[in-house]
Amino acid sequence: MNDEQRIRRVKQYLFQTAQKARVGHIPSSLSSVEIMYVLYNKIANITKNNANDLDRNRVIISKEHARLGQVAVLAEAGLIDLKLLDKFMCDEDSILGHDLYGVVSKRNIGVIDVACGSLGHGLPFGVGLAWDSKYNVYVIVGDGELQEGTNWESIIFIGSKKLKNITIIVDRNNQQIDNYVTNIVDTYSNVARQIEAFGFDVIECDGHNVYELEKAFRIETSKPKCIIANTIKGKDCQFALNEMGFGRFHAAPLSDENYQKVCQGIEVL
Amino acid sequence: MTVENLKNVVLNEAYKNEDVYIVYVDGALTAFFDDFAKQFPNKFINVGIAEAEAISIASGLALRGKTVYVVGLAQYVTARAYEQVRMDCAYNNANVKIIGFISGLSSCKAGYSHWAIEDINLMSNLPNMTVCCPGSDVEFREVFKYSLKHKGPMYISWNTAKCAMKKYSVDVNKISTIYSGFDFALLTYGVDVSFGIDFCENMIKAGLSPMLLSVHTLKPLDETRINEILDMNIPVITLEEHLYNGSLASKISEIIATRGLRVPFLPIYISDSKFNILGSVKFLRDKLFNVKNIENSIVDFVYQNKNKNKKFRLFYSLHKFDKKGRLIENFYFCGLRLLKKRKKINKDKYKYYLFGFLPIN
Repeated sequence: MNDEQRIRRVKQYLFQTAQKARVGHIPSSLSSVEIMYVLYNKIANITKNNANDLDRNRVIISKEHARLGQVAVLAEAGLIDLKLLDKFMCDEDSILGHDLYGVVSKRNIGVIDVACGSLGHGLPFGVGLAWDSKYNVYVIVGDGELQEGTNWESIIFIGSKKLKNITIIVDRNNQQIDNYVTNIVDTYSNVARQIEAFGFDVIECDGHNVYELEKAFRIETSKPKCIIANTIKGKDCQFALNEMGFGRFHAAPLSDENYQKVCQGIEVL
Repeated sequence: MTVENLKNVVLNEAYKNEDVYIVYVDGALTAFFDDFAKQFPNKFINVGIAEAEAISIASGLALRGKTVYVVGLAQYVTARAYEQVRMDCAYNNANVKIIGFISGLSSCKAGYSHWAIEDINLMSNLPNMTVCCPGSDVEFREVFKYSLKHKGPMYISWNTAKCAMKKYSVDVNKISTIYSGFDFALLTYGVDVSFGIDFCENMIKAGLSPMLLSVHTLKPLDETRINEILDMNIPVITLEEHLYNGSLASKISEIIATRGLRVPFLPIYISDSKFNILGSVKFLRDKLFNVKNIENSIVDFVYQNKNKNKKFRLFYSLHKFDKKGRLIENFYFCGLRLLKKRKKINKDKYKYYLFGFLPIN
């Protein structure tokens, strides 16, 4: 199967899981599906065998709303059991929410590194994982998330210590829960120049293009690397934004009608 | 309390009062402040996803003599921005009113990162801070009116999920009595007020005389009223979606211990040992509390501590289960006759069993 078909399958898992559990956060997940796909399948070199090792590369999804997308990507890549998707955000044996519970490795989801239920925690956490280590750490942050000050504290730290084994990926989709990022506090327009100013090499690319993303990850840079991935929030279900409004589009499950529409859309792709 | 009510109550005052400012942390409520923000762009500040900054900005405004409301998710405006609340609001005695919405377990599926189950403890620890947790429409209105007059920091924990619409008189500095019975006293606040009302109505149907008290103001606590209740020597129960430390239960335990009383006391709170699950609110309430089933344990407790001079009769609990055997709802009533009168009940779906004996008044 080629990448395009595999991503289509990821999205199928994603929508099926969301619809089954009646949960939202689909648009946030769709925005970074390709980034996570590239990281887990081509870059990070995380396998089922080394999942519980202390010494391996790390992938942190700091924008916690993309958890749904993350488990879909992991299930498609065979890193977690497909049956776990049925238990996503449900009662009883549920293990996956915005954050993950208990000792994750005991639950066969050792591949998921950090439970970030709250925004602005992943990047500093990543600095700790990357410090004095030869393994790489990849942290996906949202552009809205960059309004949290802790991110910038870490960016200053990484820049000044020239920490080269941590890569920041900014999922730049210009939307947060209530409105466009530019309408609230603008961490969208100049984010590339802002991060560059702290001593980073910034690479900008299309966040939905697997080839471009892979290329960006493989480029060797002299300074710490930051990839600005331009994306669309809710790529395959954007039509729902007008109907649902910002808040509900971000957090509420899709209606059955919209779900059917999305399913057709994915197959046409 | 619905979101619409917050809009009406808060914004009406903000329109009228020149000195009222709103600092808002991004969280799905912007639409309700839209008109206000357009009319007074300087009085409404949306700081984005930055709780710590929001509290400090608000404190700055407050030190210029303004009344500032910070609106944000309960967990984040308290725990996340704790140092800012401590230094900028509390120790400065700044006139900042923090409204934390979606408190308790209401953001159930989002996980423990979103639950506000330590907020009362954190905020009560701080000097100068007034802590309120209204559980009904009337309470929120009264607390809000009070917050406009009161000078100094205040935390209002507010819940969109469940709000009791029952009318009763509310005085912010005093505990509100919703039912004044004499068989047992249930003290509660926040979301559990509406639970308490439902539960007490069932108890009244079952022939009991419950006392229901809403402790909407947790700091300063109305100790006079609590002492009155403890002196009645009836079983006392507290119920709250909060960890034990710093909770209402711990405060009442302190009073009982310092006074050396022998009052039967059942604290119901979230036990802090099992944060490895998530799910719907109903599921979490069954699993996370220190008792297995809230209703049953209260009835059990009241029965164990019953007044021996009274007569008792049989008491039944009727449970309805879904296909997987999970409890959907339960009723209480006395005597088997009532059960037979309910013709529609399908025996396969319900289970009933003798629960105990309860007093006849």
